[in-house]
This record gives sequence, structure tokens and C-alpha cells, in this order.
Amino acid sequence: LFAVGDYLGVLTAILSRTGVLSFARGRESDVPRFEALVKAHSAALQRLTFGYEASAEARRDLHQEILVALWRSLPSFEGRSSLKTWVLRIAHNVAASHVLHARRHRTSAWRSLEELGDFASSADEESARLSRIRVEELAHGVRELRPLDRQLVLLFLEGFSSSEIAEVMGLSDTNASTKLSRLRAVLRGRLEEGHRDE
Amino acid sequence: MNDEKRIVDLWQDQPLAEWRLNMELVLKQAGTFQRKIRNRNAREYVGAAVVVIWTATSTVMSEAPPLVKTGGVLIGIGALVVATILRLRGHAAQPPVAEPTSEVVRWHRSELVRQRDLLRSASLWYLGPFIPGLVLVFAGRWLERPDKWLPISLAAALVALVFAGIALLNLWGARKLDLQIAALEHELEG
Repeated sequence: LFAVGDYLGVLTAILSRTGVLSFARGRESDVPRFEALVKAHSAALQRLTFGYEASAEARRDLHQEILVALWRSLPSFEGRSSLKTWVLRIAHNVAASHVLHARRHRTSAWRSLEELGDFASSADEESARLSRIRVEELAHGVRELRPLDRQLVLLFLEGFSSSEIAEVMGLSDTNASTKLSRLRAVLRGRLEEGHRDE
Repeated sequence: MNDEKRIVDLWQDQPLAEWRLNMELVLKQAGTFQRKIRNRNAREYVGAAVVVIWTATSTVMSEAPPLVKTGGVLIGIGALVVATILRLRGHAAQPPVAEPTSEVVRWHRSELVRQRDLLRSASLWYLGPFIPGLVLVFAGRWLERPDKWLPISLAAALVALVFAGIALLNLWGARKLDLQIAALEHELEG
């Protein structure tokens, strides 16, 4: 009986690791964990969809698509990266797939980072209305970028460090730092243009 | 650096719409995805079964001469070969969303390449397996009724025309995918 118990224990461990048991039990136990995860990253996910889709309806659809992907991927989260980078990586990958699928309907080509649209921000105190307009201009510029450049800008705007960006995008640390420097140079250029115009 | 921080703050402090997680909808859509895959597989098996049953009843189990019956068997085998290749190579996998984004982009490119190669070689794997069977069926019918050579030849020509049309459409599709791959590479890599 002990031997049978041992075998069953080993079998259960194998099935748990492969995710077979979590599927069999309907994954009810994952629901609170998933709800907490979504709650913690809700604002970042909403901002991310803003950088990919202009219309509120398309944003809702993309958001839902991301949630389903997160739910399906949750059993495979092994804690090798932080939960934040894991969530944002999946969300960006779903969004990138979304825009790559929709690409054939685009009439214009995506832009490179250097062509990021004008969103110049004044150093003076801004009214709420002006801030909103500038966020929309910034989001519009981001939506025109190539998917990988878009991801870089959005991760930067979310406050990710270059090593976190490297982890999400699958780049070397050096490559991520170089790209981040390029982005900073572009942003500086846009801001200087904005100050000159005022 | 201050200006840079202002942009980050501007982005992070943007007003967001009120939003609540609808767990039921997430579970429903995750289930729909699994159901779609099951239904697609079922449709393909049913399609192959229909061709096998149709060739069995219209040739093998009829009063047709042995050559036509052999052709019918070969058409049935051809349908099974095509269904197997479609099952093994025709399905789009899901993008590896938990992998780094560079992998996902590579995956998208490789998916387009896979689809292009399938279309480009369609005359070989999609049409080819039916040809031996069709040749035997038409040859059998012609040997059975040499006096009916004209309608049999016309039917064979019609089938050949349809096959040529399918092959051309696939080549045209492959060409379009080629252009998409080139555009994707250009836009992603600059």
C-alpha cells in the first residue's frame, strides 16, 4: 500500500507539473490569483491598449484578448521573471500579434522610432485639457510605429528599466540600452522642437 | 531628465476609464477557443470521410470495371493523404505569447513562410494525390465505352482545367504572401 501511495504521489507531482491536473480540476483555484494579477496591472494594461488601438471598442476587444491569453498562460508562469515583466510581455505579444494580423488592412507603412510624431510637452504647468491632448498626440505617434519600436516606447513610458526591457523584448542588455538611448535622443529632439515653437 | 520624467508622468497619470474584470467572459472566451479547435478538427475528418464514402459508393461498390474501381480506391487514398498533410502542416499554431517579443515576431514571419510554401507546393500535395486515381477512372471509362470518347475527354479536360485553376490560384496566393513577407521584413527591420 505504501508503494502504491508513493507511485500515486509521483504521478500526481508529474501531472501537476505538466498542467494536466489543473486542466482536469477546471482551474477554479487559479481564479483568485488571476483576479489579483489583473487588478494589480489593470492600469498598465489599459495604457498599453491605448498605445495600440485608437477606438474605445477596439481597445476593449484587445484588452479582452490579452486577458484570455493571460488566463491561458497562467499555469505556465514559473517565476523565472517578475510577474510585472511576465504580464507585460504577454500583453505586448498579444498586441503585437493583433497589429501584425491587422497589418494587411493598413494603407500606410509603419514608422521608425526616429519618425515618432510630434507631442511636444511644455515645461510650464499644463491644464488637464492640454495634458489629455498631449497624451492623445503621444499615443497617436506611438500607434504609427513599428511593433518593436512601439513596444520599446510603451515599456519606457511604463517606467521599465533597460534590463527589464531586455527581458520582455528578448534583447541583450547592451542592445536594449542602445535602443533606449536612441529613444531618449528622439524624445529630447521632440521636446526641444516643442520649446522652440512656444 | 526632468522633461523625460514629465512625459512618463503625463503617460502614467492619464485618466483611465472605469473598468471591471468580467471573469465569466474570460472563461467563456478561453473555452470558445478550445471548442473552435475541436470543431475544426472534426470538420476535416468529416470532409475526408465524405470523399472516401463518395468514391467507395460511386466507383468501388458500383458495377464499374476494375480499372475504374482501382481509380476510386486511389482517389480515396489521395483524399486521406491530403487530409493527413493538412492536419500535420496546414494548421496555424498559436503565437508563443509567453516568449520574448522578438520570438513572437520571428514566429509571425515563419508562419507567413510556412503558408507561402504550402501554397507554392499545393499542386504537389493538394492536387497530386488525386491525379493517379483520376487518370485510372477516366482511362477505365474510356476503355469501357470507346464510343463515348468525346464526353469522357471533355469531362477529363474540365477536371484538368479546374486543377490548373486551383494550382494557379495557389501560386497567386503564394506570390501575395511573398510580397507580405518582404514588406514585413522591411518594416520590422528597417
